[in-house]
Amino acid sequence: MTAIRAIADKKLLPLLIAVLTALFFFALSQGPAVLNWLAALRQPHTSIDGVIFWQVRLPRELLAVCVGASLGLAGAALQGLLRNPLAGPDLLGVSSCAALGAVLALYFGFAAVTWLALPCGGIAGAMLAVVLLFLVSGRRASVLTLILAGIAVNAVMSSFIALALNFSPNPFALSEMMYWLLGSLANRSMNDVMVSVPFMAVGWLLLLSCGRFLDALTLGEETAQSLGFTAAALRWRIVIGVALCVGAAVAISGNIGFIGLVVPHLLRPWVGYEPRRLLISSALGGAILLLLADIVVQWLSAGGNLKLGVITALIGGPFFLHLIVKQRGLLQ
Amino acid sequence: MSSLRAEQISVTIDQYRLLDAVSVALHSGEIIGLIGPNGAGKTTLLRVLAKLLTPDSGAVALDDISLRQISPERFARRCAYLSQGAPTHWPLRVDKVVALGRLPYLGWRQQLCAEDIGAIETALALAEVAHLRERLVTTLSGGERMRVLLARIFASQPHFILADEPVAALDPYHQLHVMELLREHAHRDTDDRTRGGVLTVLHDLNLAARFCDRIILLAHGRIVCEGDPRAVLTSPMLQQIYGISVRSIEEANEFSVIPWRRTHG
Repeated sequence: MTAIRAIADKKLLPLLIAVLTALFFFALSQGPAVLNWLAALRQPHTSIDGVIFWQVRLPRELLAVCVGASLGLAGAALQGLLRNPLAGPDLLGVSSCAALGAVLALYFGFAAVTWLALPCGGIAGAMLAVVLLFLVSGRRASVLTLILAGIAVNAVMSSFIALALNFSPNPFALSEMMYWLLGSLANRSMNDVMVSVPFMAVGWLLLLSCGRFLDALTLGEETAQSLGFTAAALRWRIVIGVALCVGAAVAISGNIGFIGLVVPHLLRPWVGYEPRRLLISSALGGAILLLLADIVVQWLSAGGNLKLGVITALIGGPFFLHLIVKQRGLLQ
Repeated sequence: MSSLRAEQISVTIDQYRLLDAVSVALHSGEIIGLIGPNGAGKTTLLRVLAKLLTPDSGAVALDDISLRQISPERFARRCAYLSQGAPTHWPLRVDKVVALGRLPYLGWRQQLCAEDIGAIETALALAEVAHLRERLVTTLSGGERMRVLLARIFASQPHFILADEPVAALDPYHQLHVMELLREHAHRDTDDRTRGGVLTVLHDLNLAARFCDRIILLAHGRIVCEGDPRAVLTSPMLQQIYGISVRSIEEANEFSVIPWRRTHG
């Protein structure tokens, strides 16, 4: 086992990148229609193959990669910041707050005024959730306080989403609600990619730049500060980074659960528990997991009724239980 | 000679006067024991010196330059801080924990350079934890763990070490070991420019008497007495401040005190 770990130490990133690339192209080839790649690349606008490739499959899989990476990275950063393996953007209520922000932007007309409204609504919601979490639980929150605060935030936000959709002049409110609560990547366009990915990219940069601070936080906040880090400023940078990642991702894909919890936890032993190295590998791992989930969704439901969040919850829920059993000592 | 000086430090938190016009000076080549009953303000003073807490009034200066004018990284290279209880939140490998001591030197570099690796190896050897380098820090005993955290501090190559109760919860063997390592840091070099200095909070009067060049006795946020261990750790003084009687021992030119009985309440 130690030998495998030693190899993984050096080869993990190339391995993840290779798997991600392979899965990406595999996912592009999946779908109800058999694609003629040559025709799709030669005639992007005039052939049916071209339209399917450029307007249906590519945006969907690009979003799967970017949203997965954002959620994985945000999870790793939150777990590092709170020094707590049970933290995750969905469990702590950040995702559902972002979803509410996006719902409000969408169904009350702001999104019609400017395309910025949707991602901004999501980001504002996510930001509010993270700040709220800090206020409620304090800086030295116990695991239990955080999780309980997350449950409360989740419950309140889910009801607000339902309430907002009920009051909106929208005949499809119920199915829309399922979309926001469970998440989906179906029927996304290149336009959706353009609207959301730049925000996520800024979030990635902010979070990746905090790696060394997260390493130092292993020894506690005071020691991190004594190692030359300005803890208050860096904490804000992480909060904003998480809000950008989760907010933009949720605004475009709904609330896809468990990626941010499961991925960092699975990869942590393979990077020697180092928070900085966990960041980039969790981004790649999140992208891989969401691509996989999306492929499964497409296999299981030709009609497209199965929501992505169902699959990630089916993987993540039992995993979360397993985690709680393992961490029982910490919770008491 | 290097020095870390605090002048007329006062700290008030929630209307409690934690420190009241306290002045201390730590010079290279000496190890100072900061003692006093619980709640005397020892940790607060240490945090002020470590640039973790800005005092309400008074100034701290490193080599006569105000702490406000020194960047966090620069200060981190000169002064290292060992927090009370010193948590380790993830099961990192020992050598990775020690490598964290190089963070103030890294800047935008991604990889450790030869100088970093040299400093880490020296630190592992100094704290006598080189044989533990591949262990996970969470699997170590309390004594081993404290030595690893000291190695982390040595890896930063600081002039001054500020340690908050480094020997709490250690067995006698490891208490002596940690105190020896700290004293070594202050006494090792003969060159004044590279010689280190240590200020450590202690509860063990015996260790304070045996290992420290100077003792600062703090009570209710004020310095009550300061100087040579024999001059500070006197029976009347300890009775007044701690409410205890002590037995003093003088053996082979070494001085020690043992708490004996409570005298009040």
